[in-house]
Amino acid sequence: METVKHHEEAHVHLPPRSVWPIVLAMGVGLLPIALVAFRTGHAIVAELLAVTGGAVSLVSLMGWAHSVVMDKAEDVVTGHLSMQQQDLKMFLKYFLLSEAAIFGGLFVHYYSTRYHIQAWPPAGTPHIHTHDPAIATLILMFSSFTCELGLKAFEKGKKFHAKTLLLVTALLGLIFLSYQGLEWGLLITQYGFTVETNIFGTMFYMMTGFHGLHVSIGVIFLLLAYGRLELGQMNEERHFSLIAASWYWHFVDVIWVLLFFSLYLI
Amino acid sequence: MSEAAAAATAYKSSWLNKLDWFVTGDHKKIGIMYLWFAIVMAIVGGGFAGVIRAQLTKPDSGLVTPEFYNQMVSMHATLMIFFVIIPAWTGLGNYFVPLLIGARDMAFPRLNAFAFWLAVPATALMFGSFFVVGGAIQTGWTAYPPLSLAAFSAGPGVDMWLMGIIFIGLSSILGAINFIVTVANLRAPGLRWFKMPLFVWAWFINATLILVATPVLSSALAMLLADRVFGTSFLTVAKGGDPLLYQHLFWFYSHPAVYIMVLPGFGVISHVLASFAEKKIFGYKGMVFAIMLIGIIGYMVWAHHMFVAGIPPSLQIFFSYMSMVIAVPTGIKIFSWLATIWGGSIRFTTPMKFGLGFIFLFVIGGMSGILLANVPVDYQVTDTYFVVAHFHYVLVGGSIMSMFAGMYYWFPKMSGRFLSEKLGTWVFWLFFVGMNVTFFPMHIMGIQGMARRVFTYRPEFQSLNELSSAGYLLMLAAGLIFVFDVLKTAFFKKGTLPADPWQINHVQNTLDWKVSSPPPEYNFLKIPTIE
Repeated sequence: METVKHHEEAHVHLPPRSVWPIVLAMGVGLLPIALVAFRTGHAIVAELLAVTGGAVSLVSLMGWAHSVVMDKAEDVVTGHLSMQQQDLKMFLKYFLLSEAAIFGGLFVHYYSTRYHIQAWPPAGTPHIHTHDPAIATLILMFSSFTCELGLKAFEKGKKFHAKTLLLVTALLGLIFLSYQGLEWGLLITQYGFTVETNIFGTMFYMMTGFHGLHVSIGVIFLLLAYGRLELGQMNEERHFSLIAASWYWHFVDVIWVLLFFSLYLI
Repeated sequence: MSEAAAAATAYKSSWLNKLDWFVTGDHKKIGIMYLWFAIVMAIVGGGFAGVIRAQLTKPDSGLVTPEFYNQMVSMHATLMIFFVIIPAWTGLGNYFVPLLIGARDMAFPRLNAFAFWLAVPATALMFGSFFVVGGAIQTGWTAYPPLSLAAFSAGPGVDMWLMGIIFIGLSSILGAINFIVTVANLRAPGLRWFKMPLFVWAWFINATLILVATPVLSSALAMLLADRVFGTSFLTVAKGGDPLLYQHLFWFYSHPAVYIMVLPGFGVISHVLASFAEKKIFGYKGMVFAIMLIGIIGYMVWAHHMFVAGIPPSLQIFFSYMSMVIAVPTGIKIFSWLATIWGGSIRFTTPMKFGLGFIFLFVIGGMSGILLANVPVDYQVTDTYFVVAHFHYVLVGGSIMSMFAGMYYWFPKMSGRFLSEKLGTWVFWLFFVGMNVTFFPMHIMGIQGMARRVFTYRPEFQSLNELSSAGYLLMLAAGLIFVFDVLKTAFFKKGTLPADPWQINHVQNTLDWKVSSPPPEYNFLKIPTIE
């Protein structure tokens, strides 16, 4: 299976026609326009645009995913598949590299600012407790472990174990998110510490927030993979959505360890 | 299986077929859409340049308001970089990388389409920003804080600009990943890395540059956007932010972006010169390593844009040296091109003319670049027209000339019709002369101290500015003739050409000249094997 390539197929496999790319692009494109409407005081228009854009994007993402699944079901016959999996894995690697570059920009900004400011944390920053975040960190690290176990279980054919472990991972992710939400709530309501307080506030909320967004997306990926497992759409050879969810999850986890070290410990 | 039968089984009948271009995943159609997009944007961006040149014909012509002038300057740069040059290369790359490696399509056709369509909302944001309160961005395409912060640029124009660039950046990133995977996984059997045509190599290195640099720009722009919209203080000094860091992150992308805009051109020029000198390219491996070196060193020169921004002397020295070092691999390429045409039997076709013109102009741009890499020289001429002259020699003389070469070279393949050689000669000479008349005087204005990005100037610069504006008219004429010829040939001429219309492939032996012109939808009925 591994050696079969696109071009050795017996018949011509042409790129699939799909309406979803253009619909998704337009749907996503409504979101910045909503922000502009909001900024210019057209709150209702903004809401309308945001809801429409969000809905269109969501529907087209689902449609796109559905058509990919359908394609793949056909490709099993033609032997197109193993190469696709190889392409997809490579895509994921480079996608994560570009994600790392975005976080890289934030980290560079953080360390450069710290290096330049004498008194750190700057005035106005409340004491940031490390106890609860440390527990959250352990939970997230443990979830990486359960995620990997789930993948391994699936590859050994233990579907029930795999499903359970995936759910546990997603649950641990949600617990992590609630820890973070509680921490944010406490800092904002009790200490009035917000993004506008000082540069540390900016860095703290934007970096943990951007990471939190990634955790949320990771949880969605995990649940999608769970759904496909439940529907029996994966087998030992083709389970890219499971691999993608787990790689993404490890990535998010590693970024968090760096964030925890940078924002809380030093 | 016969060709007809293959084509028939290729698509199941579906209502989608009626939407054709809007739903296609075909790399050739997407490539052509990118090229049309770039041509339309070039007309608009060129028009903006016309407003700039018209205003500058007299010291205080009063033709447009200073605010509108600033918008024109900022948007001219933005459009030419993000909406003309980069999409045009993506278009040619989309069309020819799969052909040259013997693949039927890019690795991810739908993602390819998505990346293209993302350009639509980005364009809407750009042009929409002219119609909001405060108008479009006025800060120049660099959008340095604090000027670009809400305190000094209040309207939503800057927000729209930022989001537009983030969108077009996302489009670039997705495209780049697609190119990398395509080149890595979809090469025809036997096409080893060091047998790949140079255009493919150039695009591959280009894609790695885009992949790592663009997200950093996105993150800088997102910080700026957050400062403006959510009141964060990433770049706001009053709350401990650091505007200088924006410059670092910005140029960490935007210097490699210069190479992103010219590397595919290097690839095109290698094909064109070798084809019409009837020789193999000289020093193939050296060329490949030179592209790689440019890619790597290109990441280590960004702060030469910031010599006067207050960075430590040690950094200035480092970036100054690195900027000079990057001339070495570039020189390797120039000399290899010269050695390629040396002793060849040269055919002066239109693409060849543009190829030779490219070498001449790009060398001038490169030389003024080495001058600017000297810290003291840079202190003297920073933000003057000398810099404007330098980068227009690189971008117009380098990117646009090589793009013309590529368009004339590959147009017969894409459409099945030749562009007019006669008109092409006019386009070349008008553009070549016009470009020099427009931009060469700017070297002198710059050394004499005329500041860039300002709507007015001291009276003594008037005659040079008049000359420069006259040159613009020549370039405009060239552009219009080119667009006319493209429209005429694409829509009003009929017919197809043989696989190798230039009759060059007995020397070049690349796969693009082995399929019919235009190629069938599936490119290759049987995937070729490279000996």
